[in-house]
Amino acid sequence: MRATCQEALAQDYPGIRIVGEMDWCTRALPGAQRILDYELRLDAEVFASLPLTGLCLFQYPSPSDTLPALAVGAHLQHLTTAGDIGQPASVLPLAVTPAPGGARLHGHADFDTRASLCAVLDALPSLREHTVHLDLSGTDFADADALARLSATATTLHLLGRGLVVHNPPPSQLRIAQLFPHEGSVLEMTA
Amino acid sequence: MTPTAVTDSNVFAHPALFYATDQEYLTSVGGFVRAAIQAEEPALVAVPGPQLGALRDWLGDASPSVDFVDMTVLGRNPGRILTAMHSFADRHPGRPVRVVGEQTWPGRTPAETLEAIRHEALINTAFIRHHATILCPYAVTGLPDNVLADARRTHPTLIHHGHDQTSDTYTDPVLVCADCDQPLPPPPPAGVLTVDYATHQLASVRHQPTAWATTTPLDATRASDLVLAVNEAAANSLAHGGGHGTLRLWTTASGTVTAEISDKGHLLDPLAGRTRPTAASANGGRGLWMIHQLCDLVETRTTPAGLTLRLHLTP
Repeated sequence: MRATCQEALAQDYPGIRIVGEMDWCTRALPGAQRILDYELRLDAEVFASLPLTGLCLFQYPSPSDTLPALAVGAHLQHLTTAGDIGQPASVLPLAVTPAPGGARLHGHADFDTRASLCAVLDALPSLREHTVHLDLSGTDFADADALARLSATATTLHLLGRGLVVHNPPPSQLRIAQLFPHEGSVLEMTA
Repeated sequence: MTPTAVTDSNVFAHPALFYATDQEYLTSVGGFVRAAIQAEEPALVAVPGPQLGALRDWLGDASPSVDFVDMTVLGRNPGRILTAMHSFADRHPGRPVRVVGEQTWPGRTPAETLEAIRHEALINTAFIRHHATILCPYAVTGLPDNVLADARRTHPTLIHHGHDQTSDTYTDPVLVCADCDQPLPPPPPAGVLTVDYATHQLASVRHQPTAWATTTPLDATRASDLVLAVNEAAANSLAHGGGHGTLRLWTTASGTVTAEISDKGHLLDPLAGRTRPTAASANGGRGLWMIHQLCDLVETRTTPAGLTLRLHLTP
C-alpha cells in the first residue's frame, strides 16, 4: 500500500483509493489468523500518514467467527446498505477499534465474550508501539478473568521490554483489582 | 487453666472449648494464647469484639505479638474465615500456628449459624496437613443445645471445665456438610424478580440487578458488589452448571438484599471458594471466592437437582 501510494504521489495524483476483497479472512487461509493485527495496525502505520482511502469488502451478513467478526468490527466506519458512511451497523458484545497508541475496547469483557478478549489481547503485541495503550472507556464491564488476561498480556509485553497501560477501566475492574491486588499491581491502570 | 488438648505432638488439633463464665473464657482462651507467645508460635485471635478487648487486657504487654481480629467483621460471612486462617498460616511457613476462632456466638441468625457449622466442619479438611491448633470457644450459657451438639460433631476434641476429651459424636466433614444442605426457606410470595438466563445473556443478567438495585437500600458501592457477585455466579452456571440458570432477587423486611442463583451444577469440592485463588484460576473456585468476599452471607445448597447459592447483602 505504501509503495503504491508513493508511486501515485510521484505521478502527481492527490492520493489513492483502494478496494480490498477481505472475505478471504473468514476462511482458513494462511494469514487469516493475523487479520486483527493487520486491521489494528493499518490506521496508525498507513492511513495516518498517507492520502489513502481503503474500502474493505466483506460478505453480508457479517462473519460470526470470532476473529473475522472482530476484524469487521475494527473498522471505524462502515458503508451502510444505503451507501452512506456511518458507524458500524452491528455492534459486537465485545469489539475493538484502533486508537491512538493502541486500541479501544467496546462492550463488555465477560464469560460470554472471553474468546473475543483473548483474540484482541493476542493481537496487542503485534502493534508497533513500545508501550501499548488500551482504552476501556467504551467498556461497561470487565470481570476477574479479564483482569487476569490483561495482567498476563502486560507481563508478556514487559518480558519483551515493552509495556501496557490500561486507560479508563470500568468500576468493576477497579473493584476486582482490589480483590486481587497481585494481578492489579502488575497492571498499570489510569482513570 | 490452659486447655490441654494442644500438645507439641499434635500436627493438627481442632478443639471446641465450652465455657460458661467470662473468667473461664479469659483463663482458657487467654492461657492458650499465652502458651503460644511463650512458645514463640504465631497466634491469631479472631473472636467477637467484646471478647477481643477483654483478651487484650488479660494478656497485657504480651498482646502486641498476637494478631487480633474482630470475628463479627471477619466472620460476618462464615465463608470468608478459612481464607483468613489460611492466609495467616501461609504468612508463617514451616511454623506451627495457633488460632482462636469463635465463629458462633449468641445472636447469630440460624442461617449464619448453619454456614458457621459448615465452616467448622471444613476446618478439619482444610487444615488436616497443617501444623496448626485451632481453638473454637462456645458459650454454653447463650447458645442453643443444637448448636452445641453440632460443635461436638465438628470438633474431634472437646474441652469442658479444663479437661479435654475425644468427641464421641465427631462426624466426617463430608457428612456434616451434607447435613447443612437443608432446604432453604422459600422466597417471599411476592416482590421477587426472576430472570432465566443462558449462554450469551450475561450482560442481560447484569442489567437486571443493576436496575433493580436502585429500588433497594443498597448504596452504589454495594449495588456494584451485588452485580459482580451475580455475574460470577451466573458465569459459573454457564461454565459448570449446565449452561443455564435462574436468578431471583428480593429484599427482606430489614432491607437485606437477597440474590439466589440456581443451576444444574454440583459443588464437587466443598472447599471451593474458601482459599484465596489467583484471578487466573478458572475452576469455579475463583467465582465462589469472590462471592464470599463481596457478600455478607452466602448460603450454599448442593442437592441432586443442582446447586443453589443464596447471597445476602446488607445496606
